[in-house]
Amino acid sequence: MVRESTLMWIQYITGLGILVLGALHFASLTFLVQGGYPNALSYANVVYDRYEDPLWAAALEAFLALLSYHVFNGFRVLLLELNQGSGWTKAVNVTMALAAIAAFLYGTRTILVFHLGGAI
Amino acid sequence: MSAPASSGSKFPRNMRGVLGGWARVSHANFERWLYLMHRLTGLVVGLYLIAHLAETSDIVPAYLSGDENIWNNLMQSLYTPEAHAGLLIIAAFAVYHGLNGVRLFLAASGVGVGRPIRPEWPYAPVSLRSFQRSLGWLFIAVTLILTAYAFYELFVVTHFV
Repeated sequence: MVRESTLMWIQYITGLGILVLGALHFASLTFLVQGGYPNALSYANVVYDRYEDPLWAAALEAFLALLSYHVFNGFRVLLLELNQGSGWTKAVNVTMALAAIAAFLYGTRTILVFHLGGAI
Repeated sequence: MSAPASSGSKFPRNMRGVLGGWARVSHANFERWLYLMHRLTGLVVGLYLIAHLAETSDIVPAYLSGDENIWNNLMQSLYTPEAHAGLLIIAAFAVYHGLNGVRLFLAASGVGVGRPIRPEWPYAPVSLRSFQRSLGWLFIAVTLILTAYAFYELFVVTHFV
């Protein structure tokens, strides 16, 4: 069983990673794209310039992995404050872990479909 | 020996302060407001992540069917002042949560909370008079500046030019 203090350190470390990759994500939607935000979300810009570029895809995948942990561990902390008891704690821990894995896999499908020729 | 307040458990349940705990701000200091905002912004941005994953997954059917309009039409429908007002709130909340998280990380590491001193009147905690409090104000200022930039991109460039 992982100690709560370890989980919170991971929360901080993932948070720092999200800060860096989140800044890159905002930049890629604004001043890094030609024409700024109004052009940033066209199919061509999203698919050809970002999803199909291995470096951008890797950055997005890392961003998604960090967010999946950070968000659902954050929800877990909030939910554990709402009630007490080992049954509730176990249910929240398992549900949030499964939700994090589901969110990660669902987002991964969106990012990687372009590299697997539509195989997933 | 008296029986526990709640039968069946070893210890009496103590729910005082659990529900509404974060929202109790009648005597809140600056750090308590930062904490409340950290919770609120984290919750909202976390829920937005789920919606964002669902929204961006629309690019998969566009790619598989070769019909770019599936994606472009969705984006067009979201290029509205209402949707952009929502994104502006998300941007502000995300920036605040990230920067305040850095302050919390530093404080948890013992940075910016001052050195321990002998407790002397008026017993004001050193940690509440130290660098971390200045950092709180600095990060609020940076949040406002970056929110102004987000407003420029989401409204001035997109709707007014």
